[in-house]
Amino acid sequence: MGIHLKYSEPPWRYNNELITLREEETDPSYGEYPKNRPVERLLKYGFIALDKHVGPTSHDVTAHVKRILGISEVGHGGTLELSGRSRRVRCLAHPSGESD
Amino acid sequence: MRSPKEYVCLMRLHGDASDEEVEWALSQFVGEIYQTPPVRSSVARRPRIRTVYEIEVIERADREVLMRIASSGGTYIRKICHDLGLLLGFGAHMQELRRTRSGIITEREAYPLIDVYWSSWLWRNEGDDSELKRVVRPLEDLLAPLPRVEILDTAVDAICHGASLAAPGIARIESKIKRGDIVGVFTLKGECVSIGTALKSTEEILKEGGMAIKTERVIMERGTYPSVWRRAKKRQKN
Repeated sequence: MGIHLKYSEPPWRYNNELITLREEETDPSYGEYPKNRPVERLLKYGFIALDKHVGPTSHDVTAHVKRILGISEVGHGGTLELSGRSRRVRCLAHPSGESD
Repeated sequence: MRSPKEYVCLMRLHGDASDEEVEWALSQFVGEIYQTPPVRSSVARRPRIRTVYEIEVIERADREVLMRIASSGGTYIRKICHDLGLLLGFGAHMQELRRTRSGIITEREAYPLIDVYWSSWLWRNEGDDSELKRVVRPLEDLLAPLPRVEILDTAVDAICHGASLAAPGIARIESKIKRGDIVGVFTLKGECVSIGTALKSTEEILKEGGMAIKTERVIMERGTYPSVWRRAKKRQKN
């Protein structure tokens, strides 16, 4: 019906613009590129964007994910369909439940 | 993180209105709006300012209005529907809601629980981790929207122990950081080390040096990178 009201473009992401201070290499013998992270470590330093259907609560779904993956540190951030993973992620992504 | 959200919402009007009336009413909720959180909510119920970036009506059938809404984090869509009903005089309510985007994460890249289940099964029973790796992503993907600071290998472990980041440890820094901004501290490989608060703006950090980012939350495990700072301390003692 052609109703489209726009105020401004949503700020989906920060407009990254990096200044280089020191040209340095990183030693490949320490750490890892996030893209190459093995599953065992992804389960600790990772998240799942979960498509939750209507019915079970985020809390219920978190319990399922814990059971399926056999790990205890699973949390969720966002009340609807986004479920964060690992204790560390949960707190970061916690929108105090108000994002209805 | 208060990231912007996008929803698809089905609203039900309690009376008849023309398209023009609906458009006018919706226009009252686009831009910066005052909103009091609903009775059943998890935050203090005082009016707050929220931004509605966009409302697009996808379809309308009599009293049912299907629309796409993009708004800042912490906006109650249920409340917008309710308030819009008051404005039209006969009331309205939110019938269904689905979040289709949160920050940079969209509905298209979200997986249902069954995918978690079978990709996990495949990994455990067949040793194939390719599907599970698609479902479980590195947490850095979530932190990508943050202003970022990339640091030298030698600065990493001190931060994992809770130290603040000083200017000499910085390799690359976001150009427009303001004092008090929440920033992500990353290695040169792109791993997240910590989340912190900027003690100074980028400009001040470049000019004055000194302590730059106060560590608020450590993400990386200690000992991932060598602890050069410990050796330095020992050397000082000798």
